[in-house]
Amino acid sequence: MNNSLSRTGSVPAIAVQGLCHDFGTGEAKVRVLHEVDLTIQRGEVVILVGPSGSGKTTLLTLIGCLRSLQTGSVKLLGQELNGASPATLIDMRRRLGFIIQAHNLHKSLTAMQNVRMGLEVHGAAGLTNWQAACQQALSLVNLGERLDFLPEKLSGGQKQRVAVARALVGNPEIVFADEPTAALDRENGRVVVELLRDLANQRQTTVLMVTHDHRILDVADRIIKMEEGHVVDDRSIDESIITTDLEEANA
Amino acid sequence: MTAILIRVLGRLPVGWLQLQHNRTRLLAAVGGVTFANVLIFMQLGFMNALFETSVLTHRTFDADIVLVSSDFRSLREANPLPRSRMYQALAVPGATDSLPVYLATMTWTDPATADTTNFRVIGVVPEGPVFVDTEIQQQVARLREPDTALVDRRTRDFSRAITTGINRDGEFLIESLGKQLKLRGIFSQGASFDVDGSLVVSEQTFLRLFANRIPGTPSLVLLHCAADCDCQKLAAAINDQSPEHDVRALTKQQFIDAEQSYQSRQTPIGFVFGFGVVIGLIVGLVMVYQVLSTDVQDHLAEYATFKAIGYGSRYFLAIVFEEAVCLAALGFLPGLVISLALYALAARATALPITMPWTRPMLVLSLTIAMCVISGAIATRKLNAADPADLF
Repeated sequence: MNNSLSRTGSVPAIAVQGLCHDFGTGEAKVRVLHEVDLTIQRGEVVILVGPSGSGKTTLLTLIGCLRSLQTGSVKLLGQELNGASPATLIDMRRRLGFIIQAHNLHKSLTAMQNVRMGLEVHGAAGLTNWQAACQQALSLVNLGERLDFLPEKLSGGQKQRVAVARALVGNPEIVFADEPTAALDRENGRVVVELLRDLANQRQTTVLMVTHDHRILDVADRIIKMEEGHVVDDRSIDESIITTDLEEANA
Repeated sequence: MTAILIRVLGRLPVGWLQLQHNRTRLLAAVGGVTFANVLIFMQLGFMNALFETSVLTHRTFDADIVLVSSDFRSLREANPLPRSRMYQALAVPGATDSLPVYLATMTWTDPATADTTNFRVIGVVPEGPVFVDTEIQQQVARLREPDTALVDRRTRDFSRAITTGINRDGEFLIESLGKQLKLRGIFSQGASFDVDGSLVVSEQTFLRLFANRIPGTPSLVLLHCAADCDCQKLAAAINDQSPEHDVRALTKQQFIDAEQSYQSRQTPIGFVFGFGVVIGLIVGLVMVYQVLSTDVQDHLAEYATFKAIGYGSRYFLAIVFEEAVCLAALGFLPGLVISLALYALAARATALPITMPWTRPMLVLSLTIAMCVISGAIATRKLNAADPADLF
């Protein structure tokens, strides 16, 4: 991984206070988040669960600087996002990693080139030893033999792993993952989540993950449960509650 | 190519890689730019030929100042002016000598082929220095003999029989306007859009051919200035002293400029070629826009992902402009090669000097890049639709 990006301070990685969010206007206005409070420390792996429409994706996009805040406060790595300029949001996004279900690999770029895009965003500094960094990132997700393959020559799972490598190659301080193992078999799903766990342990990377895959819950430090725009449960991982929580969430 | 672009841009040439990935679309886009280039090159070639050929005769006159009628717009429509104005101009200090020139057009039908040639007939004083072109000037003395003429070998569809006849017998007889004319010499000038070629005759022969022309009313008067005289000031002085304001004195350059200005602004043909260039640009613009906007549309999800990982708007603009410049470069080269071949073909078919000055490819390349970049700029409006929040 590229080690050129420095860590800053010991403030919480994510601090959310009184966060509300509405969609639509006038009579069609619907509140999807209600006074959400949440703090996640550096190096924590947190899994966000909840039924469809509970607000977890909206929360993820707001914390991930992908949507403008309406009410409340989100401090990301100590930086207040409410009222932040578009340029600040873009700068902040460069410190984050996104693993999304729709991997959206660029179909004209090889696996190496797609991963390189995760470094180029940091400018010339990000490209120091880019080849070694990209190869290492792809090797970590078992794609060391597919460096020069275009996405059309890769399976769905392989594409997903390239997207994981692209998200992690820039050594992000926070990783947002939306169903990161959905397209992966058990073995490769395990590789990816253990990679995230290792990053959290070794580099204090914070991981906020939305998943319905109960096979990966053991890597988490906390599970946060959302319902109808509220955080209804937030607790440290406990084997005894995993099954119950997930069954409820999936229901 | 990719490695070169990485060096030049300092980043992955995503635009080029996108273009290269869809070969069919790339081929269509390059074809569109090439077509637009050929269209622009041909229009510019014809337009330049129009401007150049319209002043071929002007350039060949040996004069510092040219007296024309006050309503002069073009050599083709030059109205006669009183010869007395020539003497009045000569009286202005600085004017050294002057010569009248008569102009008209005449058609000749070759009895052997039934082809008709439209000649510009230039009536000159055989004793005077009329032409800067020594090839013509050295033969002007031959025109002292009545009913003789010099003929332009670059006349459109020029009959080889004329050259053979002059070389073998010293003359070639033609008949026109009910009179016989002996072609006794050959010079080289060229066809234009309004005449196929030129004939040079003496003043007396001219007046015999065109019986309706009144003696003492030349179409132009060629004036020379003294060596230490400022021609512009002399022309202004002649204009000031013209009692009736029925003539105008122009420097030779003003005389040439007046003709070219008339051709470009007041004839439909000048407008048509100018319009052709604009149409070429619009065709190219639309085709490149189609390709680039479809390309942007096809990659919106990828762009949204790039936005999510921190790429700003300028990066995506750079991708689209990179594509635009690549298309401009790829379309330009075949466009230039095809145009050179078409120039040669058209020059042979029309006897017009359709040539490619080195500045024209530069101009067309600049226009092509501008055209592609404008297309790209319009296509980038679609980039706003790439919303990273929609990825989740």
